[in-house]
Amino acid sequence: MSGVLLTLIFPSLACLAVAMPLHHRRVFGRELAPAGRAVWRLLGAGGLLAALGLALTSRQWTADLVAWTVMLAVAGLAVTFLLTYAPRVLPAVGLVALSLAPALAWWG
Amino acid sequence: MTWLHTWTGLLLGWVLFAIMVTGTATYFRHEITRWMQPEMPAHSAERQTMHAGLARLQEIAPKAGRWGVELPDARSGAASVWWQEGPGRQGFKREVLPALHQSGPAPQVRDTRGGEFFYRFHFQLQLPHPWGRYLAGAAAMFMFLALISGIVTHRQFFKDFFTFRSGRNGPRTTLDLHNVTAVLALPFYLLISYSALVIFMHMYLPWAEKVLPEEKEAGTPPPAVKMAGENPIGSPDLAMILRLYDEAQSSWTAGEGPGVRRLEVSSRNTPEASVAFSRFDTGGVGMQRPARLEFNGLTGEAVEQKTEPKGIVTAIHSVIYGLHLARFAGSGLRWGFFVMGLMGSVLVATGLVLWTLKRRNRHLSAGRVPFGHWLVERLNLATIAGLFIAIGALFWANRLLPASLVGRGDWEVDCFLYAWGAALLHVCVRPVMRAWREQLILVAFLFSGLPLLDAFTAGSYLRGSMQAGQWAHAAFDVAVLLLGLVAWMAAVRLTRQKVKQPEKSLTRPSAPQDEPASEVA
Repeated sequence: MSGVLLTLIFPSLACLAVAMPLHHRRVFGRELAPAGRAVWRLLGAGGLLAALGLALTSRQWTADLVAWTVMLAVAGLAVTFLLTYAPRVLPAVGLVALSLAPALAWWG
Repeated sequence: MTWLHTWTGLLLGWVLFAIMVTGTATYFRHEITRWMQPEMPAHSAERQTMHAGLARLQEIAPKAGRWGVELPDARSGAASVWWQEGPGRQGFKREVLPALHQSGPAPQVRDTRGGEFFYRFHFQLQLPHPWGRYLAGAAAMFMFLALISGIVTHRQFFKDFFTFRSGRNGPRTTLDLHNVTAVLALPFYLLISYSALVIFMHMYLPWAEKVLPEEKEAGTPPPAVKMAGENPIGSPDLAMILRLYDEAQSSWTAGEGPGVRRLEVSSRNTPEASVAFSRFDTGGVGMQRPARLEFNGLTGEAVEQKTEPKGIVTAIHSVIYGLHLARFAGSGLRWGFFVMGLMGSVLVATGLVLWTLKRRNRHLSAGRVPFGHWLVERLNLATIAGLFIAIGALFWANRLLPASLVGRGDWEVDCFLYAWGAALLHVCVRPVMRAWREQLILVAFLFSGLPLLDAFTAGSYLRGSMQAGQWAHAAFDVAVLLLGLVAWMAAVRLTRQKVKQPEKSLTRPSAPQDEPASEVA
């Protein structure tokens, strides 16, 4: 479950990061439009809530709730370092992570 | 609030750093123990192992009053047997079970404290009881205060989210690293500092048990078992124990969850002989007593289990305790906790370094570095780099000390303490920036050299460990290689920094000439 949560939380935090003007400029090389900010925020918050819902509806929900919190920090650290050292690859890494989520969920 | 954050962070910051680093290592204490005891055989938790354990006990301790067999789990790897021939700890003996396909004596596993050393150190600090626990509790309280005051102090909490400005501006980079590691894992720090206080609350607040007597009753230990009598009729035979094992195993594995982990035969050779099986439940985050199935040792009949009433305070305490220890965590979550522990260590280290960076230029422009500043700079270095030198020395001692050395485990700990002491002496006689470089290079050498040393002394090559499926061993080697690499990079970065000479010469209490301010500013 930790892997699934990480692959959901990482792109969600990446969305929240690019909803911030400074990080958006670094990632996409252009200014952030106000409507775009709302969309990125919605995507980010929605992803985090979906991951939280997944954790809370699992059989071992207490342990998975802790896992959700832990993976928030781990994914946040990864997003921060990518924004610092390789901002342009953040969208690609986010998409790869998201596409891994179903495979990890199936694998168990 | 800034004042409170600064001083609560600094005063016990060195102790806190040692607690954080060793506590982080504790998440993998069984894996560290396995690396430090490469001779340890691997068993599976099966009936065959239980049978071999009982046969071994029959052979070496036929008259013991208590017998036990501990089956391995995925992390510990090896099965062991224990027996008790007399009252007290002196009568208690334990032995690792030989590999099932081997005959002869028990394997000679090297004496070491293993990962248990890190576990004990992180709350006892190698000090006499109870002073280590009191000091660790004070450090936890200071950390909690520093966290709360840090939240109030950090004005750009949301604006600086995900922001890390890596560059040549040392204080800015250090502050960003401090903020990033603090904000991202804040719930974890609040949890571990608060839970650290709750775990030993009976020590810090001993009056609580008087106020809540029902909570004390819940924790009353079971009555003592009798030692061996002379009546061999009271000794359950091996066939019966194995039959009861099958019964316990099938009743537990019929539902979901783990099977038998531990066997205990008590009061052997007496009419009160009993056979008990236990397992450690998984699923909840709270600390749980092992599930237990008990049988009469003479008739084999199941004995009804009494369930003790559990007060609300005990229940909350067990959840907070369980969250701190994270024994419920699988391998993925355990790595997550490990990363957060590392982030916590970086948080404390950057906080300590920031204290000196912020004040250094002011002191240098005044032309004099006060003794307090000089002392904090040295203690920072001796704690941050010195602790890793000590840990590296512990691992090297584990591989280089002779296996037959009496008190070998204590010698390893002595090497840890002597190496740490030597690091402290080194920073007192060297300019601080040179000492940083030298100690970081030593850390890099000690850690990146460990896999090579392991290959030469224990014959465990990294690739060989992977091919043999010894993932814990391989992960340890990779982790120390990465730590060594980080230390190399830090040493190189310090070496490449441009050095400008200060306009004024510095005066400083009885220490060698210091390096210029521009090195750190």
